[in-house]
Amino acid sequence: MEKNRLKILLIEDHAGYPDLLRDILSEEINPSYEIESTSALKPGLQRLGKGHFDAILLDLSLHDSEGLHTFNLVHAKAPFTPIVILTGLDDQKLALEAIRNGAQDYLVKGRIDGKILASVIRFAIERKRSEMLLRKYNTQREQILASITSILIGLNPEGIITHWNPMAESTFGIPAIETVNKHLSQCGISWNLAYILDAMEECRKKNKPVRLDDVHYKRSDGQERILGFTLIPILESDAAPEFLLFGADITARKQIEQMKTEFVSTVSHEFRTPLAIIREGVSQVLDGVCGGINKSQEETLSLSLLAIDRLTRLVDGLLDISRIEAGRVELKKDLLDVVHIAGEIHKAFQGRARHKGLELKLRIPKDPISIYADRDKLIQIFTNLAGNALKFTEKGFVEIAVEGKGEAVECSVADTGKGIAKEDLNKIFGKFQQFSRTVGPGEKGTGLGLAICKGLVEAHEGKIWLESALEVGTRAVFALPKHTGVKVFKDYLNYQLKESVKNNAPVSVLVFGIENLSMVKQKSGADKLLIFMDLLERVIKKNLRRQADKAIRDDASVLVVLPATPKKDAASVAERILQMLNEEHEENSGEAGMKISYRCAGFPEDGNMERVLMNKVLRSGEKHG
Amino acid sequence: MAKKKILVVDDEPDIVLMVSNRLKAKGYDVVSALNGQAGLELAKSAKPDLIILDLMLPKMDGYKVCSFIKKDSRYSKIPIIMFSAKAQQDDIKIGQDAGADAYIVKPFDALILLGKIAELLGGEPAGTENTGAQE
Repeated sequence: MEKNRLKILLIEDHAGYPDLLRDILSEEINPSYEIESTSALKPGLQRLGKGHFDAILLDLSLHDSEGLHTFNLVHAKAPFTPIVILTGLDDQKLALEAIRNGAQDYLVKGRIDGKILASVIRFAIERKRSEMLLRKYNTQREQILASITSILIGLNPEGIITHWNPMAESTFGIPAIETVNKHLSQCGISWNLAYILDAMEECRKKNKPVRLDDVHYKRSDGQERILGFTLIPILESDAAPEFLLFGADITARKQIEQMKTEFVSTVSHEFRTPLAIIREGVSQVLDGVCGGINKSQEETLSLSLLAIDRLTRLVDGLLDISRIEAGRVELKKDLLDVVHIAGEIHKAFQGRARHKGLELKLRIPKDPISIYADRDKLIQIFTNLAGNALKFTEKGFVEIAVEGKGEAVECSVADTGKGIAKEDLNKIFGKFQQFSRTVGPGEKGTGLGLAICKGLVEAHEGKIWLESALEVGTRAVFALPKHTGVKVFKDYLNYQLKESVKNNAPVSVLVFGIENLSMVKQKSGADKLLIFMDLLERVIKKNLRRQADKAIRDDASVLVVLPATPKKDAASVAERILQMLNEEHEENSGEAGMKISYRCAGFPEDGNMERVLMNKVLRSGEKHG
Repeated sequence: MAKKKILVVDDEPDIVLMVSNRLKAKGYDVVSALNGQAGLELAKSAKPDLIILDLMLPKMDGYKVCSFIKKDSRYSKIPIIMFSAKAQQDDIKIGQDAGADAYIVKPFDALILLGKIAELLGGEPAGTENTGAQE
């Protein structure tokens, strides 16, 4: 709101100055200026106590007060009124300091004309207004942040704490003044810091919130607690992102989850013994162990046996689900060829398909596709989907397929069954969801299969979905990230690098490869190459002695990490391997003309970045051998 | 040919009864024990041709019984089938580490159990056969 008359208080002790200013401002009409003046601080403060001014013009050197002190007193008396400092040429430093303490602007006396003075006053008023607004927003924000019942920790790009809300104070028992401006590693909390720093790195890379589900920390009373966080990147233009660590103490929830898992686990275990007795009893009568039975008795007992097996599957399914829900699926990951596994599933289901009069197709690429996954779990997913497809299809075919799609591999099981209504599609991965698809005689489902598949696929960082059209068929698809030896290797190298940096220990990387690969492929063929790669891998593994030493094979190279080994020692290991390789190669009358070489990189010589080290061993860098 | 003798160790009498019935019907001799310690003693004294061994047993658990037998050169050749309600991969792995020759999960399929026994006894199903499973 623009006033057309502004009231100004001038505090200045040179007689005549007020008149000068009045004179200078007299030509300003819209707004016009009314100047009241006092020549000392004390009457000035008194005057401020009596009525409102739109702005204050303040000389810091008065006969009853001097310097910044003058400003501070006036500012304290009228905290909401804009202040313009009047200063001499030699006093600008002081004026700047006053601005830092809350003044809006300053003017050098003797250089003032009407236009400048008027605009300085009006800008000062505007600036004060935005400052007040900003302060209001800030206060509101602070109040909101303070009332949040979650832990909220602000971090700058370097990991320095910028904010520590009251919930963080009460959870950790450390006040904000002891943590703000300190690095996360120095805030006095014993927790798994590396996990959080990793997440920051990931967050920076992906520029997406990252969840940290299991941050363990030890409270000052010695109690182990568990925190759950989301790390949120806060982007400001193109600067490095700041972070918000947002979360809560989830110890109680975790305890309940654990109790639930243990309960289900115990129950499912306890169910098994009586189930075994019932099953074996029924099946002994059925098998005639206890004497002959008639046809009708046999039919009845056969149904009982099916129901017992279904109950057993339910018990197993519940155990799986409770582990998935508690985030406790333990994956034993290996490099697997998913194409081969699809072929095995196809073979395993041939009998059932033939029995039902269905064609079981297999659509796979001719080359293997590697994924880093748990073999048993992958088979469980495939088996479940294929089982479903066969169960719900009466005529036509079921097709098991694997298809490379960029960085992912899509596995699917399609059928020509009744299909699923659109409105049911999104519910289908829930627990105990079985829809109106009618099932024939035989094995009944548990209603847990797809929920388990979803959990297992997601534990592998994959996605699962259904495509379906009524009366046409259903296609269940799960996509898993492709994994190459190099990727697995990078994971391991990253881990070892972090450990080495922490312990200030060296770590070395070796990569063995065939230099003239394309020529060898052409001349000797893929089979010979495979045989040679087997030999190479064997020789290398023979030369690795410690458990932490790791060799991972890729298509035409073998990558080796040697923790706690300086680069020069790694080089002698490599030379030894080459020598042994040459001997064995000759013994096995291997193909001549194959040039094997290795490349070497190490921490600290080549830095502590996995990317840099990998570049050095995969592409550039000196070759040996 | 003499009947093959099988030792069944399980703390659940009904399981022992069921398994014994099945084995006897198939023509095997059966001896049994209801705890680990008794099982181990019987393994030494009764000289069974094969042992079916539960995991969770009073007095001495199945893993221990198994590794005792497998470490003693006098008995180490007796095949052992771990027989347990624990069905997790980890349990099976531990069973294998203790030296068990096979692992069968409860509830079990008698056909599979009998098949495994025959396989471990060298293909010869049993001495005499009165009633058998429908195959």
